Parts: sequence; C-alpha cells; structure tokens
Amino acid sequence: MKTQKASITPLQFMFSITCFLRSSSLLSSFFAPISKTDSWLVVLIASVVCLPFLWAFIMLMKAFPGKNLIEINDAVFGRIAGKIISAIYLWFFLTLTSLNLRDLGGFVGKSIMLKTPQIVIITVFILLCAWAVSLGLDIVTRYSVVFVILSSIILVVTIAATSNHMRLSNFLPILRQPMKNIIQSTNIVSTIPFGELVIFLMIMPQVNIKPKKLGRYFLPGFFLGAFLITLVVARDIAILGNTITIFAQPSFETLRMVSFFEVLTHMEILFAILLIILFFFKISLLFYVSMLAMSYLFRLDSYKPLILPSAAIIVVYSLIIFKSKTKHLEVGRETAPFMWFIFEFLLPLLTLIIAYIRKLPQKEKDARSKEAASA
Amino acid sequence: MILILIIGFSAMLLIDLPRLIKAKQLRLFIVYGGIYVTAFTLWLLFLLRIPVVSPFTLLSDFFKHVLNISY
Amino acid sequence: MKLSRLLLCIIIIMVFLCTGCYDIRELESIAIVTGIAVDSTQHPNMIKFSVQIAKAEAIAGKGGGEKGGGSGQNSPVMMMDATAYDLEDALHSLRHDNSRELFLHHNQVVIFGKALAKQGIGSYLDALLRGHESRLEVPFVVADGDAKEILETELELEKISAVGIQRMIRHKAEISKLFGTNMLLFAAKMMENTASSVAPIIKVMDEEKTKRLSLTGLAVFKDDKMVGELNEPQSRGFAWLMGKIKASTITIDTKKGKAELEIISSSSKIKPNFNDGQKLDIKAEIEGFFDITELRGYENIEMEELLDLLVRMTKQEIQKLIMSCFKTCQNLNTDIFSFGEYIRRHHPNQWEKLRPRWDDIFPAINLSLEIDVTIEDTGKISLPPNLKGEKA
Repeated sequence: MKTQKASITPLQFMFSITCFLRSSSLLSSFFAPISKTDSWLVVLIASVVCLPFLWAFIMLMKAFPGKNLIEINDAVFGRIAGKIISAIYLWFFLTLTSLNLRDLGGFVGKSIMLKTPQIVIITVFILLCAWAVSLGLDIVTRYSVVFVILSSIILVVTIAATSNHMRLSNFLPILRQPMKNIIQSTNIVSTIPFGELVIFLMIMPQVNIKPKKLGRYFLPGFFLGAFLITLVVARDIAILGNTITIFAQPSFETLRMVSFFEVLTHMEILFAILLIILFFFKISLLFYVSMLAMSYLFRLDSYKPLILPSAAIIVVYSLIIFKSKTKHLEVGRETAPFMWFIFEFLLPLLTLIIAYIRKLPQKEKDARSKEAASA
Repeated sequence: MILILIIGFSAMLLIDLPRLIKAKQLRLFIVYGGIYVTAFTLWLLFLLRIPVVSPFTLLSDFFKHVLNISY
Repeated sequence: MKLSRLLLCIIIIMVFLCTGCYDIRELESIAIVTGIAVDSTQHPNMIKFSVQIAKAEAIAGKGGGEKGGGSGQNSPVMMMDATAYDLEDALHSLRHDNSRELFLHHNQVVIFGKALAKQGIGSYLDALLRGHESRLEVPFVVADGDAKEILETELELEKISAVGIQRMIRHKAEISKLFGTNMLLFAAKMMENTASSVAPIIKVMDEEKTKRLSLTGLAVFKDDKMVGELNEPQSRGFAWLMGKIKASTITIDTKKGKAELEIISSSSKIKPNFNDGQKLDIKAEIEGFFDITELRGYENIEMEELLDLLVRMTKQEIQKLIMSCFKTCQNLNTDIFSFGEYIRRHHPNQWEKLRPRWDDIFPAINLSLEIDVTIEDTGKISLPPNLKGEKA
C-alpha cells in the first residue's frame, strides 16, 4: 500500500465539506413535501442532532491519524472482519455515487436536454469525473473554494432578485405539524446530506492537518454548509409557500420567478449550471472515495487502472438502481434514512467504541512516538 | 446497441491494457479482470432488457417488509 | 510535447461533440407560442385549445414597411387551435398540424373562457404546472365570453396581442397587486383549504371600427370553479380591504361639488375577535393616503371645511366599496380575503376550532371597519381658481 502525500490544505478540506453539503441543497424535494413550510427549521434541527455523530467522525480521525477508513477498520476489527465491513462500505460508496449520478442525469435529462438519452448524459459526465479522479484528489478539492464562493454569490443574488416575490407569512404557522413529520424530515436531512460526510474519513490521510486542529476545520465547514442549505430552503419557502410540497425541484421553480425588468428572465439556467458544477464536485469525490476503497480492499498499489471499468459499473448501476423516480423518492423518504443511519452513524460509532475498548488509540500513539524517538 | 457496447469495452481495454502489462502485477490483473467482466455482464443484461435487480432496492424492501422499519 | 498537443486536439474535438446536438432547437424549427386560450366546447369533456404563435420573421424582417397592426398575411401572429380532452392531448394534436415544434417558454398569458372557468379549471392547471416548459409567473385571465376571441383581437399598439395583454395586466396590477394573478399564486391559493382566488376578467369592446380589449372586474373562484364576478367598484373594495391599492382615484360626488382624489398608499390590519368560538367578528383597520387631483364646482367654502368634507366623503366611499364587495363574497361563500388563512397562520389554536365549520362561519362574519383617511397633498395649487378667498 503506498502512502499518500498529504497534499490537501486545511482550507481546502473545510471548503470541500461545505461544497459537498451545498451540492445536496438541490435535493430538497426529498424532505420538503414532508415538513412543508417548516423545512428550514428541520435543517437547523438536523445540524444540531448530527453533532454527536460528527464528533464520532472527528474522534476517529484523531485516533487514527494518517489512516483512512479501510485501514481503521482493519486495525479495529481485525483483518477478516475489517475487510468484510470495508466491503460493505465500498458498496455504500458505490451506491451513493450511482444515486447522485442518477439524480444528475434525471435533472438534466428532464429539464434541459429532453431528447438526449440519459445514458449519454450520465456516461459523458462520469467520464469527466473519471478523468478528474485519475489526476488525483487535490485537483477536485482545490476547486471547492471557488465553487463555494460562486454558489454563495449566486445564492445572494437570487435572494435579492426574488425578494419582491417573497412573503414572510409563508413561514407561519411554525411547527404546527404532527411531530412525526418533523422527526422524519430531520432523519432524512441528517442522513442524506449530513451523514454522507462519513466519506471524508476516507481521505483523511491526504489532508495536511494536525489532529488537534481537525475540529477547527471540520465543524466550521459543516456549519457553513448547513447554513447555506437552510438559506436555500428558506428562500424557496418564502417564495413558493405551500406549493413547495408539489414541486420536484423547488429551487428550479424559484429561479424561474426571477425577472429583472423584463430583460433578465429565465434565470433558472443559473440553477442548472450551478447544479452541474456542484454535482461534478460531489460525484468526483464519491467516485474517488470508491476507487480508493477498492484499491485498499484488494491491496493494490494504485487505484488508477480500476477507474474505467468501475465507471462502467457505476453507470449501469445508476441506470438499474431504480425502476422509477417515484420509487426513488419513496425509498429516499421512508427506508433510506434508516439504512444510511446504520452505515453513516452506527458503524463509525461502533468502530470508535471498539477502538477505545481495545485501547487502540493509545497503541497508535505509542507506536508513533516510538517511531519519532527512533527517527 | 450491443455493437456500441463492444466498441466501448474494447476501447477501455485498449486504453488500460498497456498500463496493466507494464505494471506486471498479477493481483492487479485479476482485480481489473473481475471488475471488467462484472461491468460487461451487467451492461449486457441491461441492454438485453433482462431485469437486473439492484441490491439497493432489495435492501430497502428488506428493511421495509421484513424488519418493518420504515415511516 | 506531442502528447499534450494530441490531448488538446482530442479535447477540442470533444467540445464540439458535447454541444448537445440531440436537443438542437433552431429558431426556424420552433413555433414560439405567445398566448394560450382554453375554451369549453359543446361536448362536455372536451376543450378547445388555441395558441397564438408569433412569427419571428414577420416581426423582425418586415418591420420596416409595417402599417399599423397589419392584417391577414402581414400579421406577425397566427392562431392555431385543437379540440381535445385535455391540455396535453391538445398540445400533441397541434403537433400533427404543425411543421414546427411548439416552444412554450415565451408564453405570455393564459386565458380561460368563462364557460370553462365555471366548469372548473383545476385539471388544466395541473397540466400547466406539470409541464417542464410552462412558467409559473405567467399571468392568467378569464375571458368574458370566448377566450379564443380575446386572443384573436388585434391590438393597435402591440404587434403581438398576447404581449399586449400581459402588459395590460401588469399595468392594471399597478393599481393593486391583487388584480393580477399567476399560476403560482393561484395554485398556492387552491392548496389552501379555505381561500378563494380571483382572476381578472378581460372582455372585447366593440367600438365603431375597431375592437378593443378591456380588463374590468374580477372573477371569483371557489376551489377551481368560477362562481361569481366582482365589478370594478367591488374589486376596488377588495383591494381596499386587503390594503393593497394605490395609483387609482376615488371620485367624490356631493351636492357641493365633485372631487377626484388619487390614492397614494393604503394599508389594512385585520383583527379578528373570536367571541369564544361563536360568531366571528373581524375588525379591519384601513388607512389611506390621498392627493387631490381635481376639484370641480366647489364654491363658497373654506379650505379646512373642504378638506373635512372630502375626508368624510372618502371614508364613506371606501366603506361603501368594501361592504359591497364583502357582501357579495359572503353570498358566494368565497373567502377571497384569506381571512381563514390569516387565522390559520397567526392564531393556529383558534383555527383548529373554526376550520370544520368555516363554510358556515364565513357568511356570518361581522365585518366592522375603522377607516382613517389623510389627504396629504393638493397638487400644485391649493385652492381652485374660482374659490372664495382668492377673488379680489
């Protein structure tokens, strides 16, 4: 196993997290119909609820610096069980990649390019991501700063541009819904955008950061991302009101309402551009993580040769993963929160607990201080 | 369609094979071969319209109906 | 060196290939739809769907030699219609007759015929919301008669009548935002349990040689069916009660003289009084700021007295307008003022109690008005030239 250079700066790390979360702000159609006009509050609640689990991630990162998730699993669970659990994670990463790719293909295919077969859109896109991945991770994370700034500027501009359509009374009444809706929504938001941050455990070795300072970069990145999602959802609620529940892409419709002086209309193209840019980041990152996991699982030197055939698998997987969009939404709302909960929260937590029981972080520290002493 | 599939996969092989042979690692070869064959089979099944069950739906149905955990 | 050049060439080729050629839509291959009109037909389930298509070449190319609105062959717009069971069906059947593909992104207005509005437009709204090409901020109106006729009327000042209609609506909406409605607002209102929507009514006026279009009054919908109309004064009353009227005038007619007052701004506050779940009392506090724009016929009167008189008369006038509108709506049992929605948002506890009986409660609401009128400015002159005090 070759060691990876620590080439990602802490700032890139923080903005990668924000960018990753911002890409998921386009998936508000998963939870908006359930929590309706309280969706903005749900995002805030979920960001608080997730904190213990994020803390578990950070603790894992701190306990095993320089090791990615696969290596951690090996260390904690032993070689055989660790490999099995890592294989499950690999399936998880591949599924996430395919799901996001499918979302992209669906959106571009239905809204912008209606006649182009979705296979073509998905294939071209994954080839682009494959190219980015083959050049290394820092290519992609380097862009995260730019993407975050760009998307924030667009967000501010659209809020200003649609402010004449906003009605603050759309937010009332607050929290008059059955608690079940709020809980379900919080669950969805915690697992679909927030919990996916578990993949950052895979790229930790490449981040040039002292373990002590991890929290200082991880948490602000997370909060910034959560704040941006809240703003997007709040803007959509202010404009669409109770109709947010029926739209498949609420942000798209919001941007359609923008019209500056009859001249600057059809602003929804901004949304489409933004979505493609952000999804490029997210899918490239997920793809990279899957490739890395695969190469570690099979104990290969490098993941690069595996890129093309894996891309083929991901494309076909994303095409067969669902029979229809309605099934996708149904699973996303009802069962995925629980399934992902296990992968994103329970497993890492379990890993952490067992690591501490086996006193592994201590052994790590001893091993490294021995190295430092003998060097 | 199958013609395009074959062209695509041959192109993939063309691009990757030189590098694989240069690397001279049996393990890499085997893993690559495994992934390649899996991809090819899945695509073939997909293009022949044979319904392939996705493990994701299987798992979700398992959760919903067997374990009865769902909203 | 050579490898990077090769890559560059490949990239350039790829850029050309990635232009999305599947979805090419050249200007010559699309028919730009500018207006949509939906009418009912004799057959109960079928509708007549008419579209106004703008001919791009006619507007651009022959602009130099235009003669007014143009007619027949020189007209920059053309109409097409189809009869079908629903909107999507009609759109598809229009394809058969057309050498070009219909491009709906520039649609300016949607017009529903009155007969169809009375039957219910919910299902057509569904098609308009669901389609990927429809836009939410497109205004829609109800035609006093046949929608197709409205769309066919040529306007003198605008080459494309649908654009003209949309501008008319926007112009009218300057008086009150409530006088224009678009898909989004209408859908949002429909999704509220108790509120009713309004939409402007447009009609064709036959004048000596030409036909004109005029926006008068509002159509009142309950759910998705049109159940009644408000005439111009009543629609003003509606705007007053909602506190969203400006840029129009109130005419005061007294024995002493006549006056025209322009509304600068207005606001309203709604204060419900729940009376322990029995009858609902609503007190509306209305505030209006006016400028005097015309005074006629006042003689032998001091300015102060004149202002007092005007204020009193204005209050009476506003009260008349609002109550007339309110009574009509109570008779139709349509809550166009969103009282129910207001209570749901600001007093959710009370709303739980009132909601099941809203249809009984609304017609029995006791509306009391507290109107405050301020005349701010009198224009460039203060007293009319023929008023006492100025004559030597």
